[in-house]
Amino acid sequence: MEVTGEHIVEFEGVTKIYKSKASLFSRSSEEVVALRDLTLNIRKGEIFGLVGESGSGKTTAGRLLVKLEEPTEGVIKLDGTDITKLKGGRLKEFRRNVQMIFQDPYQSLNPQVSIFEAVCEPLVIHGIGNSGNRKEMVEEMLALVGLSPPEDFLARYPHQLSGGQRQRVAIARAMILKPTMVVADEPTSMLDASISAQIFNILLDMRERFQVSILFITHSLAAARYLCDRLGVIYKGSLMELGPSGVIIAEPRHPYTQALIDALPKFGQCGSVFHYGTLLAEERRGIEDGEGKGTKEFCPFFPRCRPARAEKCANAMPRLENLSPGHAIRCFFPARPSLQVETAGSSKCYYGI
Amino acid sequence: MALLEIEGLSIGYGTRNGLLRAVEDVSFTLEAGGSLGLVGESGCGKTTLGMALMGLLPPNGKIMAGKILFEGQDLKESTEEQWRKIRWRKISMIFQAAMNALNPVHRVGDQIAEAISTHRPEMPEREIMERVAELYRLVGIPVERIKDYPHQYSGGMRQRAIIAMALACNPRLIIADEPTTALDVIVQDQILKEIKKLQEKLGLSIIFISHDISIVAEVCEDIGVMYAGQLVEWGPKEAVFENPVHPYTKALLASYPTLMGERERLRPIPGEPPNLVSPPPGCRFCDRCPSAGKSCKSQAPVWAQVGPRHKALCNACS
Repeated sequence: MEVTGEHIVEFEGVTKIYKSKASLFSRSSEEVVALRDLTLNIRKGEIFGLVGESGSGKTTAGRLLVKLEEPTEGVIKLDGTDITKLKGGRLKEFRRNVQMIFQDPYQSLNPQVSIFEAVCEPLVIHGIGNSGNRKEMVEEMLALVGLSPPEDFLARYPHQLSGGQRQRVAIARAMILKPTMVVADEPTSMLDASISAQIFNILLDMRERFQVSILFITHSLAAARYLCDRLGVIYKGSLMELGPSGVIIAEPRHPYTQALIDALPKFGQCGSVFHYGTLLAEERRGIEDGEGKGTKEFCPFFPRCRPARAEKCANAMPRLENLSPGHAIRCFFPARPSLQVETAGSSKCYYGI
Repeated sequence: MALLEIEGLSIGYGTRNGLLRAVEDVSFTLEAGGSLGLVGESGCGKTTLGMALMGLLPPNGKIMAGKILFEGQDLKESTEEQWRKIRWRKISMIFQAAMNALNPVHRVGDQIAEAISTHRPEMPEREIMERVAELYRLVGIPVERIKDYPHQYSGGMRQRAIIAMALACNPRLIIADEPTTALDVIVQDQILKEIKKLQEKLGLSIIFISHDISIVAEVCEDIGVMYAGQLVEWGPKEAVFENPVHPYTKALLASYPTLMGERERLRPIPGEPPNLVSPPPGCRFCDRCPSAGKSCKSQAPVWAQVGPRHKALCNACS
C-alpha cells in the first residue's frame, strides 16, 4: 500500500519523567528522564522504527502511545486528537483503534485461556459480532497470521504452542479489532532468526491488507531496515537521528547511529563494509557525576563519542535539525556525507536481527 | 591428537511421553586453539550438547551412546569425583544471563576468588587476590572495581566478570552458551571481540553456542549447524557461508537480511521441526525441505563429504 503524507500519530515535545521514591537506602527521591522532548510524526500506513538500546526510552514512547503511561509534558495526538484528554466512550474507541504487541509471548498470553478465547476476547469487550460469527472472525484472523488450519488451534492453550506460534496469536489478538495503529515492542527479541523473519513478514502482510500503521520498537538496525519506511534513533531519552530507513542505514550522519551500525553482528562477505569507529573504547568520565549534576546540559552521547569536541558538546544540548528534507540529526558536528566511503559491494554481507 | 573428539554422541531425556532424543549421533573434532560455533534453532540440542561436555546433564538426561574424548580420555565414563577435577580446571563455561549468574549479596571479586579457592585449596589468599586482579585486567574491568557488588556493575561488566570466572583456573576449553543474549548491540559487540581476543591470546579452544549465526560468525572459525538433534553441516566458516550445502543451512541463511542493495523479502523456513520423541525414520528436515527427493522420507541420510573439511548430512546434496 501507499504511505500517505497524512499523519496518524504526532508526538509534540513529549517528556516522561519517572520519580523514584525515597527508600531505606536513598533518602531523597531521584528523577529519571526516560523520554526528553520527543517530537515526531508517524504517517498513515507507515511502519516507523524506533531504534535504541535498553534504557533509551523507546519502550516508554510505545507505552505512552497506547496510554499505558501518561506523559509528564507534551501532547500525543492520534488522528489529530489529543489522546491524553480522552475519557469515556472516546477512550474506549481509542483502545479499539490502538493495539500493542508485546515483547515476550511467553508472558503476554494468559496460560489459562484458550487460543480461541484469547483472540475472541477483544471482540466481546468491544461488542463486535455475535456468538455466531465471532468464531468465523477468529478463524479468519488465525489463518491470516499463518496458524492453519485454524480449527486445530482454537482449543489449544499457550503452553502447547511454540514461541513463534504464540507471537502469531498475539498479533491475531491485536489485529482482530482492525486497529489503525499498532505498537510492536521488540516482538521478535525472544525468537530465533527464521521465526523472526516469519513474524516480520506477517507484520508486512498486515500493513498491506489492513492499511494499519505500525510503530516498531527494536534494538536492531538490521531488523528496522528490513521492516520500516522511516527510522528514529533514540539514545538516553533523546531522538538523535530521524529519516528514511534507507538513508539512515546508507548515510548515517550521527556518530551514535554510526556506532550502532558498526556493532551489528554480521557474516558472509563483509570485508568491504565500512567501519565508522565513532565509539570511544573508554567513556569520558566525570561529566555526569561532576559539579551541578542533573542541571548541566550536554549531549547525551558526548561521554562515548570519539569525534566530539568538549568545548561545545559537553556544555550544551544540540537541537534536532534538518540536514535535508526528512533527515534530521541532533549533533553539533554532523559527519560530512563525503566521509561515508564505499559501503556498497556488501550485498552478500548478512546481519543478525 | 585433537583436544576434543565427539564420536556418535546420542543423548536422551526421559519424559512422560517417552524418550526424547535430544542429541543423536553427533560427531566432530575440535583442535587445541580451535573455535567451533554450534548454531540451530531452540530445541535443536545445542545446549544439551554443551551441558553434556560439562557433565551437567539434568537427572532425566542420559548419554545413550557415543564417546566424548577430551585429551584422549572418555569423559562419559567419569565419576562425579573425576568431573569435579575437570570442570573449571579443564573445561569451563560462560553462562548466559549475566544478570543472574552472580550472587547479589557477595562482592564480585570474592565470588571469583571463591571459584579459584574451591579448585586450588592450597593457594594462599594473597595469591588468589592477585590472580583475581590479573583476571580483571585480562577481561578489561578496572581493578578498583574488585570490591563492588554485582548491582554496581553494568550488564557488560557483569558479563566480563562471568568470563573472568570461567578463565579463573586456566581451562583449555571454554563453552559459551548464548553469552550475549540480553545485552545491547554495542555491549554485545565489545564482549564478542573480548572473547575472540582472549581466545587468541590464551590459545583457548572454544565452543560457542547460539541460535544466531551472525553472533557465532564474529568469534568462530568453524561452524556446526544443528537441526532436530543432529549435526547436519560442519565446516570452516567461509565454506559454510559461501557454499552452504545442506538445505537447512541454506534456508537458515536466507532468514538474515542485508543492509545494502535492494530490500529483498526474507524467506523464512515454513513449518516446525519434528517431534523428537518419535522422529521420522528418514531425514528430519525432509518435510520442510524444498529439494527433498522421494527416498528422503524413508531413508536415513548419510554424510556427504563436500570439501576437505566440509560435510553435510544429506542424501540429496552430493
